[in-house]
Amino acid sequence: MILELVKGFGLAGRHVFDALFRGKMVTVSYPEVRREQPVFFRGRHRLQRYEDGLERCVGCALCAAVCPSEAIYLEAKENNPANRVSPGERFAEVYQIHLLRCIFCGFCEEACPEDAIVMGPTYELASDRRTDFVAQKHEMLDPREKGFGDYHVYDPYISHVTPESDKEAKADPWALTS
Amino acid sequence: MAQVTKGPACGIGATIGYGAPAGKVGRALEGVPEDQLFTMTLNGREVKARKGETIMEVCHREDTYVPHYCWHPSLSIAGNCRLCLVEVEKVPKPIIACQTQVSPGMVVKSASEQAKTAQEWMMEFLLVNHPLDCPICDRGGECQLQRYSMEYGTSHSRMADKKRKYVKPQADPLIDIERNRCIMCTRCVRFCDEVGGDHVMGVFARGNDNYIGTFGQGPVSNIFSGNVIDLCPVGCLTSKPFRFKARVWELTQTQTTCTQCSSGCKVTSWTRNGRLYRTTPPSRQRHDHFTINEDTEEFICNQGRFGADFSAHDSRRGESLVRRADRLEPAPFGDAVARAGKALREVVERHGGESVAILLSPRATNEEGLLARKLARDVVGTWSVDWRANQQSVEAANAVSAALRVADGDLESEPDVVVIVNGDIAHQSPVLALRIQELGRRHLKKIVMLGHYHDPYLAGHAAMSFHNAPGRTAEILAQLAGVLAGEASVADLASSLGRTEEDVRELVDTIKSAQSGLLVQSLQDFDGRYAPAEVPAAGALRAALGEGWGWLPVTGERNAVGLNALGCEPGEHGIGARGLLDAIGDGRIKAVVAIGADAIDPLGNEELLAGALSNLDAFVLADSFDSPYSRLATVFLGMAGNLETDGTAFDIEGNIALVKAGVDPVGDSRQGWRILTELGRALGRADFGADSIEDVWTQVRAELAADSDATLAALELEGGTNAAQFVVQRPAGGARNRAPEHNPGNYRTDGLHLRSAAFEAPKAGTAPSSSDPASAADGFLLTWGPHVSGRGYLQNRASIAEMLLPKPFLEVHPADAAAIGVKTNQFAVLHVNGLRTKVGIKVGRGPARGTVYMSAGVYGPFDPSSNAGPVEVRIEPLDELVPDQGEALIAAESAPESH
Repeated sequence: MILELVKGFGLAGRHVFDALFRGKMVTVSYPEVRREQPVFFRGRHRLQRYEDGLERCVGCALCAAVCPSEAIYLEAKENNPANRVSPGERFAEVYQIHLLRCIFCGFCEEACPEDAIVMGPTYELASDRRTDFVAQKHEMLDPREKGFGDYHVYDPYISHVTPESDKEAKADPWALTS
Repeated sequence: MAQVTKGPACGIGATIGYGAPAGKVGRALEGVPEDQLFTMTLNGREVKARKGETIMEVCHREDTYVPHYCWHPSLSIAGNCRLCLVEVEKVPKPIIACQTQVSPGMVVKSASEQAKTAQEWMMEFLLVNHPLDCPICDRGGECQLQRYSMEYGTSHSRMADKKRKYVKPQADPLIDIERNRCIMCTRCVRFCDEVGGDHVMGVFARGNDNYIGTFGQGPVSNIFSGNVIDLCPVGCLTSKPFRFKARVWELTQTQTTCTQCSSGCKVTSWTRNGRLYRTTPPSRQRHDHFTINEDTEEFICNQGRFGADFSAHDSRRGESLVRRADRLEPAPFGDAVARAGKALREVVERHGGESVAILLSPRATNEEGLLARKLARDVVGTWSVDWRANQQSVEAANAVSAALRVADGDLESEPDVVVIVNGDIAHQSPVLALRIQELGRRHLKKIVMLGHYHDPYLAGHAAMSFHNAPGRTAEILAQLAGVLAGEASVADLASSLGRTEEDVRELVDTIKSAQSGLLVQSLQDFDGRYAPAEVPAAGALRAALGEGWGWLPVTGERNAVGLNALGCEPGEHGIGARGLLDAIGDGRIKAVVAIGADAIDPLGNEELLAGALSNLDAFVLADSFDSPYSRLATVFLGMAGNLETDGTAFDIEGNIALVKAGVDPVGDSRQGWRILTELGRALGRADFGADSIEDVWTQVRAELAADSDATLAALELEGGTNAAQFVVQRPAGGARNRAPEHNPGNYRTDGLHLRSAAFEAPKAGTAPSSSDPASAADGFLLTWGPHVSGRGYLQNRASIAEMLLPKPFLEVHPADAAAIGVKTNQFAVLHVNGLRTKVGIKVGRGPARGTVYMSAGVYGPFDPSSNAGPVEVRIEPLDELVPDQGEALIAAESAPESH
């Protein structure tokens, strides 16, 4: 029994020593320091764009259909070929996610056939106004400009999307889907 | 460009060729003679079948689902999707169920290994060129291809090559065509050929390059074209007004009835967030949800489908208004109704109850009708309550009422012969016309057309057709009745009709030899002179036809039958809608209560009405919109609009159906029955009206069918089929004819103009002078009729009203067209009462010789309905053609890209 106690305290002591003197601190001094999130972290939603700025979202509403807490509301509209929003015929004119309803399950990511909606690394969601919790489309499309963290054109886990496939999809909307 | 070829021969047994009528599918075998029946085996079960049925029809009746795309119960058999392959014993290959007739002892296995494999392979084959763009496609969620892929298909495809692609045409303003998604079932082509009647869609090119399109790249012009959207099993044909507005699974469905014409079609309203997104025929239950019914036999017209959203117009007003010092100010509903009650009470006290008129919109529900009548008779004390503003004269309105009261025919009984008098049913009540043509097309019944105008939609299905000049219809009907009774000679009738004796004898023999028949009479009376003579003549003819026959007078007004049966009419004592302006002019009417501004809108142009209404002491308007009339009101009460109102209404055949609210009333507006209740209570009757729609219905039921105990819930539509039918009991009698209570007693109390006998023809009116316009060398007689999509108070407010508006064409008889030298699609100048207008010409057999026909509400200022009396017109041909709708679009469209 004595042996077990010594072993246990020894382990704890080693960790204390490592943290204090060998620079192996487990905690970070938030908010000055922010922890790097794993790739599959499900934080605040983002809407992705193609490299040329066209939106990936076609407004199919499968995310809204699969959402278990009915947090997503969207209205689609037909693209004007002279002033495209998305490569296909259809785009989301209104796209809202009610973050107070959202349970961050990630089903919307999974359901999305265009890899348009992804959940990013941002976890700082607090606000003192309820309206702030309804994320609007422009906030999710351009999160950096709106102060919602970084905006990535490609997420590493969208492995099958390459700049080449994007180019092809833009030139020929049907290629994307066949 | 070749249209679709005949269906492929099946190779086994007897097959039905392309174009054969499908018959009534799923029809029960009761009453079929024993020698026509035999037994066969379906999935190991012994079933009875009738000679000549197909396997699909037997499966349909036996509730055995066989997947199909091209087969549709209302359309002819094409046999080109090959998905309904089933296994038949002793046949080496699977064969298609839709085209193979059953034979005695046949053993059919619809779900065997062989059949399943065949269906799986067919699904893979149909998907070879189908793009996987379901996220973009509007059909997603209600797509038969998606569904069958899950139920009958495989999850993989061996298609490695590039898919076939077409350039997208922009042919139709209402229907979006995406050819890449088409699987060539040709349902739309057959619908336009057989039901729509305009033969405008076709299959073009050959083999792998097959594509669907319209001849001349123009629009699909028939009034039922919207149905191809529902018929299309894939996303090839989708609705343009609904395009990308919402996904179907997000919408709430309400099973209700259309409120736009007297066909009273059952529809499903698809709403979301208090807004109507689309209207379709009744949806059906599949597994745990309701979805669109691709196999529906209940087609609806384009006006009902696309024009039902008028309540969401910008001019919609939810709150009530009260006039204070010459200004209308918003007021709470309670204050407004109290003010209305005060204003009306003052008028009643000063001028008596008879100085108040209550006008109802013809689309008012039975509940609103009943309360309006009770308000007039029991509270205000006036006979003057009316719904018939659309009729052209007092006499015509009375004739319409008399006809509706004694009508005893319907199409349900499938009469052997349908005699149509004065046509034009397709414009007034489109789906009624569709059902009549189905009798001719699918059930091979005889259609006979009489009168001065023959509906072009039905004329193609008519076995016989006899024109006469306008104004002579009554005479012809009287002579025909005489011939049937053996009192007049065939020769006289033949000379009146200007036809040979053999033709007329055939007509008489057809009518005489029929076991059952139906006399359909259009009450469309273009100048208010003819109905007073034609209705009694038709009544006399109905009496001469005897047992087995029925009489179905047709008017386009939504709830004409119900409002008529509930006695919402002034009778001989009161002032009706048509006499209203005169009565206001000479001071007999001092106050008007209008339930819906469409109750007064047809009475004249805006200036005329504004002049009259501003002379009133009180004008109470309950309506949903800002309009020239709302600005004249003493009190404006915000009324719930279309799809915000509960109640019941009758169709023209006398079947009752539920009108169900799908969304909440906008703002502070109330349903009509509640407004009338509150108005009655504000007039000092604390017990007036009812506090729930169920209570009002109980009162309506007590009047219409005292021995019935049907609740509103019993009338509820279940899964798109309304089992509970409640036929109005004619003739009406009882409490509704009681004299107004406040009146001194000068009035008769023995009924307005109701008949007590089971059937009695209305008394003959004065026949109009039978002028023969064909002899007038210099001009034609202009005849016209109302159009369900024509300009109107409500129609104008639909979001795509302009697209639904009928094309402004003047229909000319071929012989007349040849005489003055005009052709279809040629422009001409029409001289009307010293005015000139440019019109397109359509040569057709609708109007009689010497007359021309146009739809009312199409020409705006030249609207013939604003001219009193018959209008002589002159046609001056122009050397100019109506531009082809498709011409501009041809450039945008091309043959399929090479692949």
